[in-house]
Amino acid sequence: MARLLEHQGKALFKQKGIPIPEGRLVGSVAEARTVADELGFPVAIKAQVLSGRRGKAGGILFADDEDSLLKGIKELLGKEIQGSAVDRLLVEEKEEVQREWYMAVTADPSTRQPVGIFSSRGGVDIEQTAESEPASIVTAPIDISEGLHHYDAMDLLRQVGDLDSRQMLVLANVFTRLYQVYREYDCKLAEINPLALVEQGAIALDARVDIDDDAASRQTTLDIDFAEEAGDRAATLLEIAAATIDEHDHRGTVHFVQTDLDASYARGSGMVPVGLDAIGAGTGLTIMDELVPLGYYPINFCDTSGNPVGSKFYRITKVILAQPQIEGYLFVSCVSSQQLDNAARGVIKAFKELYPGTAGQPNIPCIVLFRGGWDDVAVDLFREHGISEGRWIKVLGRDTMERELAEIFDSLYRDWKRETGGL
Amino acid sequence: MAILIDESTAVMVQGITGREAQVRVRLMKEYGTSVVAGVTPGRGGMTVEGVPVYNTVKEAVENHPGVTVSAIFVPARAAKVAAFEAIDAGLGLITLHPERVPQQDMLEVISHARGGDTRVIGPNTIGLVSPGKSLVGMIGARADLAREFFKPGPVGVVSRSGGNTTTLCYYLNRVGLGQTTAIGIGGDAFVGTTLIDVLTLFEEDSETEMVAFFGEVGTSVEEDASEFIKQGGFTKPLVGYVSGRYARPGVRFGHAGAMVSRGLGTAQGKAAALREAGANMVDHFGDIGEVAKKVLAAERASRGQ
Amino acid sequence: MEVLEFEIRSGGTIRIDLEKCETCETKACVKHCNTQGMGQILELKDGVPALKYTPEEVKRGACTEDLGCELECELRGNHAIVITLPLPELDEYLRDLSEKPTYLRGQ
Repeated sequence: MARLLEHQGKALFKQKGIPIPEGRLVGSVAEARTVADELGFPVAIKAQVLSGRRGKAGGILFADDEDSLLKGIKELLGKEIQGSAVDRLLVEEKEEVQREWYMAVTADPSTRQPVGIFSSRGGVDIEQTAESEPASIVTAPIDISEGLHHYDAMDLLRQVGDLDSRQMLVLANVFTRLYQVYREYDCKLAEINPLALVEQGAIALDARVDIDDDAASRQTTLDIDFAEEAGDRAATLLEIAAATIDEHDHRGTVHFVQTDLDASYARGSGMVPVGLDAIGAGTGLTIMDELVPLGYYPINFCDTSGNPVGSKFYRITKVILAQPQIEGYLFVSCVSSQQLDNAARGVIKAFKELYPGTAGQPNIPCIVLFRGGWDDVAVDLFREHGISEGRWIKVLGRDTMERELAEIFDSLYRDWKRETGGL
Repeated sequence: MAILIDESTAVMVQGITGREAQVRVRLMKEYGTSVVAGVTPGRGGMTVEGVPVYNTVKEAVENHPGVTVSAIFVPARAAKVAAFEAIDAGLGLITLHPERVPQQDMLEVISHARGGDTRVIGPNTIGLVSPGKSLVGMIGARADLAREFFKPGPVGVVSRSGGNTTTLCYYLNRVGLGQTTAIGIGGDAFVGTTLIDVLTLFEEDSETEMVAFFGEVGTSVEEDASEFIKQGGFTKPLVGYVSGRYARPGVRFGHAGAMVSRGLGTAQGKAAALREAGANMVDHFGDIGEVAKKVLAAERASRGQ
Repeated sequence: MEVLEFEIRSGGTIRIDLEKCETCETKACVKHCNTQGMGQILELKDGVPALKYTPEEVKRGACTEDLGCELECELRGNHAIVITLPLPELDEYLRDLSEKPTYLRGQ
């Protein structure tokens, strides 16, 4: 899902009439001087990064005069907050806050409808509130064919208990507008936390807006990168390379995500990083279930589905093997209806090219498992091309189950490590 | 008996002139499915694999009043409208095959179908098969492979992963257990037919003696089903496997639904919930056949068979 | 014509050195393309492989890119076929990589 930065989310709020503090986006100290003239003091200086723990990580500062503003900007620009470099700051008028609330619209998996959520505990993660004070959270399902009427929002807010009529009216206005943001921009989540009570009414002090990747093609006005699938970070070069494989050819799909960028999670947990290609999304997860207990962690997730052409397998195999940290490679199919001989040819061509000195036999432990359509042909191809004889590869057929596969890989890896000393 | 589709089912295909749909029409027909009509707006009058093409679903239904099922093979962005058209034409079952249908489109489809007579399977579904009777969608591929992977028998199969629908049936076949019907409900977070819906159908089907299930991390599908079972909604034996024990929060694993978020939907939690509801959950997917065999034998013994 | 070269849909080329084909006894590429290959785009003309379709049709997807012609030629033919499938973004990634990928080590 593509998550918007605070200032991007607030721009959408503003478009729909949700009050936000007057603010400016700055990327340098020079820009900040004019901002101070326009906004006056005091101001809040907020790092524009996707991290959810921004405040705690020191990403928000306040300034009462120009000196402290410049000092704050210098401090935040270039700072790293949970892996993201800060290159833009949002400088905003600081509000006189009387109360803080929480408001959100998202989709509820249980009712399979949008749901409006409100809590009288603002400024706190909703998960935390759900633990400590569940009674302070009120929700109401929204009929997507009807939309959220103003009276629906009023009825939802009535449940809160300690809002006066005037506050309810103001909040219901914000609620219907937040629902418009949710609908119009294909949000998975539109959240205001905190939503503050100020002298003039209610105002959104923060914005969390998650956009549905699958609606990217119609959300052309949003200036965001939809290539990312790995949560709160931008796509890597290798992921971008993998994404280009499907660009000109829709015969089958390849989804590649680096789940442990520099293998630090794997190594930190005492596991061996490996590369993985799975036919079918469910297959990758099932293989992980068996590999991880034996001490092997796939540092990428890859799903090749929809009967891709052989050239896609060739390219994605090269992408997976380009990860320098891996000490093993696995290609695994579920009992698939795809033409596995095509997959085999792609992998074979890649191996021959990457291991020219050994005619395609790899130098790290590799498992290739073919189950399903044309699996016998696929296994034969590896044998015919002389790759199956390699010391560090096992080519397996239909009768191999996930656990056996992991055990075979484990023993292959141990032999490899013992005989070669590893890389 | 089987659920949802059998030898008497007449099927139409929306988006029939597309590349994938044409291949699937041929394979469905080879398996023995009765594919009688297709729809592509603007292509009425053509034929695809001998199947007449109409401009609208209503027109297809007027010409083939026996049609009750529509397999939808349109691009993701057109899925909502295609589903609306099938729902409005009063079809009993639609299978929505496109991947990556926008979430809110799916919420609208679910809302549009609510309270009506149309069951929606998918999106991102591989389809369903009642072995030896009928096959709808992309499951099984070549007819000879489909006959090898799916055999008639007493087990109802339901899976959140398309590919593992077949793997699960294969593991059952290895121990001699065939299937009444096997369904891939789709890996998305919001699907038209949930695990609870399928369990309800299998509960009512007299030939289904037990159910085998493949689940995944993410969403609350399994947790909801375990509550449903505890309340007596499903009483037959259930064996299952939930994959993704080592998925880390916030990372999407292929399926949109397969993402652990906000502390919900871990594989361990799901397996525990289903176990608490009386299901036999296996720790290794490959063990599911053997366990199913034992469970079924015990069930039959307790019934005095 | 000494060389048959054509583009394929995913972005890449197939190059067949026809001089080598003249002495090839198996013509394994044509056999494969017409039996296993779903596209079936190659045929024998004057004893060497030729395209059944126009280069435009082949590029639009008539070639199903199963890579069988190249691999069969390697096994049973005269090593006359080279399929080139570029992925420039991967090359860019590899250029900037500080640590060598494993396939470049110890060889």
